[in-house]
Amino acid sequence: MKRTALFILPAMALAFLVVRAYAAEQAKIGQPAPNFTLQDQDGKTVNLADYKGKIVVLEWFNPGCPFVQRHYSQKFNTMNNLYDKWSAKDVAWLGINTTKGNNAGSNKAAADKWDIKHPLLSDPDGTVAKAYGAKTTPHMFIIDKQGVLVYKGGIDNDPDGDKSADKVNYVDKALSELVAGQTVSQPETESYGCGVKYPK
Amino acid sequence: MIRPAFVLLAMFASLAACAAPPSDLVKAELLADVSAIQPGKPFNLGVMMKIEPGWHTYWKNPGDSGSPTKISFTAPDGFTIEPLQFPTPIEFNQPGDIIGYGYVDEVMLTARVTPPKDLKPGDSIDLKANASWLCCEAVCVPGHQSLSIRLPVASEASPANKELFEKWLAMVPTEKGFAAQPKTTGDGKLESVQINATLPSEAKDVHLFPAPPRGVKVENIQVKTEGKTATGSFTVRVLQGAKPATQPIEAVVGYTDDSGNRRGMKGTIPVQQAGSSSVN
Repeated sequence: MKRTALFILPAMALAFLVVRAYAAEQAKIGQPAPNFTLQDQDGKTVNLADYKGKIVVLEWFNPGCPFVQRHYSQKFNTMNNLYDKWSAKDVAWLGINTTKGNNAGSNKAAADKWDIKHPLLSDPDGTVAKAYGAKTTPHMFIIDKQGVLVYKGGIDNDPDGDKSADKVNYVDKALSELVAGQTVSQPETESYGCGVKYPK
Repeated sequence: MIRPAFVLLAMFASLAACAAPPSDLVKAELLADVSAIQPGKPFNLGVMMKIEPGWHTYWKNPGDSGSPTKISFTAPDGFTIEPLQFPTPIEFNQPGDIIGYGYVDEVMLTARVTPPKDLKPGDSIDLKANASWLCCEAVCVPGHQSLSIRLPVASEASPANKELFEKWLAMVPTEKGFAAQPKTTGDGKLESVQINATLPSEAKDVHLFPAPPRGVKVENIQVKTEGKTATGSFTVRVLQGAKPATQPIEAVVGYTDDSGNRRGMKGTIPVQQAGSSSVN
């Protein structure tokens, strides 16, 4: 577990504040991903910059949303399966919960219920969701080793969860391409799910 | 690592914070606009959905989030069922600028059905509808219901549920008074669309509702009203790596007239792919 606490370099904090202000509108494909500092389900502070040099997947999360529930169900278990597959290849996975009223405790309960091994970060005021333009749960983002946003969109092309043929998991596909040193062939797709339940 | 007391507390806290949603947020019923099926004579089927106050269901394009209501009708061989008709929706702007398109209180989705000519009067026909929806408020709850009705076959029939069908069919957008002007780049790629729609006087709650096919992103949706003209626009992006869209973009201008009736006008705009043979 190398989730180093931050407050190490105030200069770094200043640097990402500038980035965030610059990217206030919305994170764009091919641009540096907005940095953030949030607390995980164990109360630990997580800073995106700590993951520099790794591919990072961001998953907008709300345990009360039926689409999220489906992707953590025993039948699909989409997110945990992808986490297991890709964490073995040094890909980091961060869940972010912007749902009104969520906190480390509620995220801890969700992590225990669904055997989630990756951090679930609480974004209680919606700042990070706004910086990324997160609209749905799930809404997926991938950041490359250089800290550049390279994917934004859906987890797959199966909003109803009833596809058998032609099912594409966009995140799995993008990670395969990135790990193979290729560019992401579908950098943007439609996301689907519940609306992010912003606090205001 | 594991702190059971803390976890238990958190679980109780999250349970208490989230009151259980009512179990039947949507009450759905399958209706026909005729008392009997006359051989060869078209009629309408409708699924009437009564929605719990404060909650909403979604249009064919749900907007930034949500899921469209889906209804699949089934009828015996020889029946033709036309595509599902969605009444003009309303727009809801949720916290975080998440725009949704859909319905509150109630909605009826309809489809026109043509029975075969060789039906025998005296027989009866079972018609079915499988309806599924997402109903949202502070939380979202999916729902589905299998509905059916049995109608007799007769050489004479009278209208049924007349007021309901009149009300909801009048809310289905029509093509009258709607004009769309596509703007393309030099290589024939659709860049943006300008919409003009002629409104009756005193039209309120004017919104533009685009429904793009998969792989096409519609953004910067704007509409303004001046007198009896609504002028709108949106930009179009074909997503990199997406399969070429075979369906056009549908766009609806929705408004509420001075009697409080929701009405709409619609049109379609083909998505011209880069490298396609169509050159403007």
